[in-house]
Amino acid sequence: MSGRIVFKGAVLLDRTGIRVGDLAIEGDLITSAEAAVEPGPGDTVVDARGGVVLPALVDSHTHLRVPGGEEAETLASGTMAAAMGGYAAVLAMPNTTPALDNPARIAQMLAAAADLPVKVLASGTITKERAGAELSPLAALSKAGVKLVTDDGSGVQDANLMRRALQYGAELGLIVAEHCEVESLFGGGVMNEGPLSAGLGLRGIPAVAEEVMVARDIELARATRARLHLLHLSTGRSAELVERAKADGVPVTAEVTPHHLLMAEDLLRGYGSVYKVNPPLRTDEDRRALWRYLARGAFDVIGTDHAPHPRWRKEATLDDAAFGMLGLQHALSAVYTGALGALEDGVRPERLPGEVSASIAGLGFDESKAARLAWLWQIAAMMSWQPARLLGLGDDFVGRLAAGSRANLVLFDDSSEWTPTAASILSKAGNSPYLGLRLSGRIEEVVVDGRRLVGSGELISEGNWH
Amino acid sequence: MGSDGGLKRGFWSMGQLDRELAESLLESARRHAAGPRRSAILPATEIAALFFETSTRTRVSFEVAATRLGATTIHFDSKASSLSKGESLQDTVETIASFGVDGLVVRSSAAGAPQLIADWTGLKVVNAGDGAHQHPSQALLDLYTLSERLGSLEALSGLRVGIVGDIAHSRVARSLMEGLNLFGAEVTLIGPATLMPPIGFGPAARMSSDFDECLGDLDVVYLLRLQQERIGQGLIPSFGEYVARYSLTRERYRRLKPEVVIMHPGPVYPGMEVDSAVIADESSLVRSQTRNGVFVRMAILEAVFGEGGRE
Repeated sequence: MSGRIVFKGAVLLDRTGIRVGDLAIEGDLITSAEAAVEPGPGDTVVDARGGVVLPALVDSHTHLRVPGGEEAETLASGTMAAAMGGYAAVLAMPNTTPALDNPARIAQMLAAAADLPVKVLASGTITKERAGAELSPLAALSKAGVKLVTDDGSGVQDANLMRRALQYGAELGLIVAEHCEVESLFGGGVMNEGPLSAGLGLRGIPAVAEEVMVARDIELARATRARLHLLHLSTGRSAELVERAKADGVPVTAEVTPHHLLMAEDLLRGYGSVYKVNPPLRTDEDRRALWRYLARGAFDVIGTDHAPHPRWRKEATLDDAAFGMLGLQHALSAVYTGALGALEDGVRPERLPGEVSASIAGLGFDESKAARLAWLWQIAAMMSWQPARLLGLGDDFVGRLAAGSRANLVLFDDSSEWTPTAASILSKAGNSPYLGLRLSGRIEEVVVDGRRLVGSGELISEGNWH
Repeated sequence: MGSDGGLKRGFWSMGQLDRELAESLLESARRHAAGPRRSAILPATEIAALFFETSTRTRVSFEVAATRLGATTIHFDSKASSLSKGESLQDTVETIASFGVDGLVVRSSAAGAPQLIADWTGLKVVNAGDGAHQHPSQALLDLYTLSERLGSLEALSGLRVGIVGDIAHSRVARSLMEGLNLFGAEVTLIGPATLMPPIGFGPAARMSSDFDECLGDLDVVYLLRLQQERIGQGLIPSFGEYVARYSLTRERYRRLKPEVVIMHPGPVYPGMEVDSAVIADESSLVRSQTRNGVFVRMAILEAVFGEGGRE
């Protein structure tokens, strides 16, 4: 039997707080955390001093493009990118060709993904063929293991159909997740509508195209008392609506993406189609507002909306190019970089549990390191154990670094400054907005089910994908 | 890119010009207007005209300008600007670039296309109109035509120019506003809120939805063309209502200053934006605009492709 994996001298971050110490993995379990571990012969030793070990991530929003979009991404290439990004599990979105709207198609996709080292979860559509006219067989989907249904890529335009989906889904325990976009307000836009789009001569997507549906769905959830999940919210006003609904006790949860937290519409000035995404990158004012609302608890998860496209769909003018950008591989660095910016703006997480704050204070770090760790804890919560809980993975999947916990974890070098290059992209597509961008913090090690998938910042287990 | 680089990489936006560079282009256009019909300023220069959007007038104007300078134009008329599966726009223009031409004149319905094509190919690109973004050769020929009528460019300072109509979708309005700002003219954008860009979108301008209220103040009335599709998009109720509020009718024309100047980028739909008798009146500069287009485009091509072109 092979030896242990031993992390020496790391900051250990899990949902109970932050500590410093060693961590050992044997088989697919953590066997020791915090106490000093003396490595033996045959052990793989990782010098983790200066880094932070945190639970592996779970993505609540991945477009794996299977079936039908293999020109852009395959299950193998998508999960390799996920592994590099520190993910132990991803939720595959159902807007495939054909759409994942029935148990047979979902079973087929899951069977193809079963042996991959990163766990693939399936979502289903709310409506048949994602056409927005009739409900998908939601009970059958639920029975097939689906936890979340969405027509992502389009919003459910018919308000009554959405009301019925919420009612019918709630009794099955399904999470009904909305892509908030009123198509008649969308107006064929390609970027955020405002002074910048007008100056560039580009058709704009107004913020109200999103906000009107956020408001509508919150009222539907209030009226039906059914669970509602809102995907990839991009404006400050959307976040405000969610915050108020939560205060009112409406059963709503919300997602925000790494790209909306890090980037703003100014990037469109050069007409680069890699920045064309839906919902669009908004104003920097919106971006800052997202951080303020995130700090106060308006959002529950950070999902990537990883959206690969073949080269020819992106080597085009903004009018013609497809919406969407890659996210999995650089999500944690992108969000952490955004958080450091929020910190400079004086924004700090306001909802840290008391024992977590106390554990950080007990480490004796200087004030600025402590503030950065507080943000990293909040980010880990929203990218790891909160999405895991949302998707029904159970509390034992990720979230704890303790003897007996499953060995799903990441070593993050939070002091690293780096710039991703095109050659390092593992996705089959190349449409990453992070190439050439200076990022803070880098994933050095990834262990999933006790397997070391990433070592020293490189994918080391390519054999796992064949 | 600012004016510091001149136009050596191409000319895609009025934002590349400062007052000095704009003046030198207009001065060069005046020399071409007064000079011999044919010259050999651009010998052995091959320019491909890539028109992804049909525009016979602009294309022929550029081709005449290039021919008079001794350059050769290759005409690439592609209605298939939208992507065909597997081949990107980038592939298409890179193929054309590989033929070894010296540069491109690009017209596209997609804003930003000239800039992207310049980035992709490394070739010099002249913008002949991109979506609702820019139409810089039109703006320069408008400035040329105005200064010709008024006697000098200095006369543009303080001039009150009303641009009337569908500002939101107009590349002509965007380029012209920037050009007028360079010379100190005061611009008022006139049209309904649904056809207006948001406040603060770019060049300085006043905005008004009341054409009648503005009439007595204007020295120049610049009318824009209105597309039929604006009704279907819910931006205006009907042509009839547009004519009632914003057309330069004979009645409105009588209330303008006697020395007023009327302009329109063409093609004019008489009876829509402007009454047919008004557009035929001597205060209308529409014919001069078309004629001067060739001289201004000669100046642009010389600045972009010429050996000793102005930096």
